[in-house]
Amino acid sequence: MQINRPLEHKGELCPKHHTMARIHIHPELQLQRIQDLRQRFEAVAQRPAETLLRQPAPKKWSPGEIVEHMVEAHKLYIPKLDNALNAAAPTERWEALKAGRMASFLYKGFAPKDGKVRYKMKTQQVFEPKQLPQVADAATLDKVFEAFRASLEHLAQSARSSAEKDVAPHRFNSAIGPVVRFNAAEAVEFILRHNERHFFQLDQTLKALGA
Amino acid sequence: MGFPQNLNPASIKMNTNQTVLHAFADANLSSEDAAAFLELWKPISFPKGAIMTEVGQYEKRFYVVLSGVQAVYLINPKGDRVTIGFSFDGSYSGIYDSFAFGTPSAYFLQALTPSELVYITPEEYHALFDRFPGFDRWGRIVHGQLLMGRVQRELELTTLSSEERFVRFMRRCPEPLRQIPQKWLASYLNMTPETFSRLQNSVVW
Repeated sequence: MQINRPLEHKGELCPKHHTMARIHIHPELQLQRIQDLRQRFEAVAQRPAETLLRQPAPKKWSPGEIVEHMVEAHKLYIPKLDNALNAAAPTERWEALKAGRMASFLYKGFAPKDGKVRYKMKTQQVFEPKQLPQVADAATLDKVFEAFRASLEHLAQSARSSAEKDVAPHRFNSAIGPVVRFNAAEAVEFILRHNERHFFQLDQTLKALGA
Repeated sequence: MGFPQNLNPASIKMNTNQTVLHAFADANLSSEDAAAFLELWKPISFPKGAIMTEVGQYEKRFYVVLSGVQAVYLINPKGDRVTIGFSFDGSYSGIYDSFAFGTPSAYFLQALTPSELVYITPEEYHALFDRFPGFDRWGRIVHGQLLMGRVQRELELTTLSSEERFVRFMRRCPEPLRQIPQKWLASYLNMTPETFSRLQNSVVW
């Protein structure tokens, strides 16, 4: 029986009841998208610190806090990715890899539709921005931005390494826990789509700030 | 990267020095300058399938190809490969805009076959124009040829049918490119491998 229900219906994650094609993960396309995020980020970083530290509305993140959230979300995956990639045997792959059904299901929910972010979820506390809400100044912003550049570099290295290794046998728990397990290529894709979703939010926030 | 059509010593077995000097014939180097110029070139090889330059990396080499075929490409959002161009025996290679302007590469460069090349660095390349008087002439001629090649390609891609693109390309296709998998040629001609195969079996060029 095929049931098409939105993800947020009763908070269920039920990909087996959805008819959907599994996503193909292309390592070259991942690297292109990471490079695109780098360029978009550097354009954002040119804005005045005062703009980047300003919240568009109460309880809404400033642009700086959005970037810090992406840094915090990536941090959890760093040791998981490094361990999985160190354990994986080298191959000559550089070919597309088919993501698992659960991963494909999650990816599809990330993209905005009709100009709106879908399937909003409350951010887990561990991924909340920590530095900027405490000390919202240019020096802290610089540190956060350097950390984001480093996270993109780590993501690119992980994408490259995933392309050259047999990553399928080495799975690890996602940030959500054992309900969702990724291999390294799937995790890179997850982080990348998460970042792309927040760059959409970043664009909307800067527009709201008139920047 | 465009590939001047006159650089094709296909029927002549040239050694490395001859290949490099042939590639830079328009610089009109004296014997003394040629000797100093050749000292700059360093050998390098890549196995089949090696990614020589990635998107986001800075191209640090300007190559002359001694043997093998390389392709410049990227992946479109649908996951399909889009081939921008090829390099092969006797031609230049590398991601030129990244090399010349020090910007991150927007493309991948891959060795489609085992490849032997020689290269110089960006610093050495830029110094050529001050060091050897003929290099301004070489630059003027080669960049003009590159521009004309890209305009011609744009015209073909935007105005010709798939059969017309196929025929024009196959008539000028250098021998090394006929040895690589058809999917790369199909991508370069903006058609599916199935269309390329159908045209190859049905069209006389």
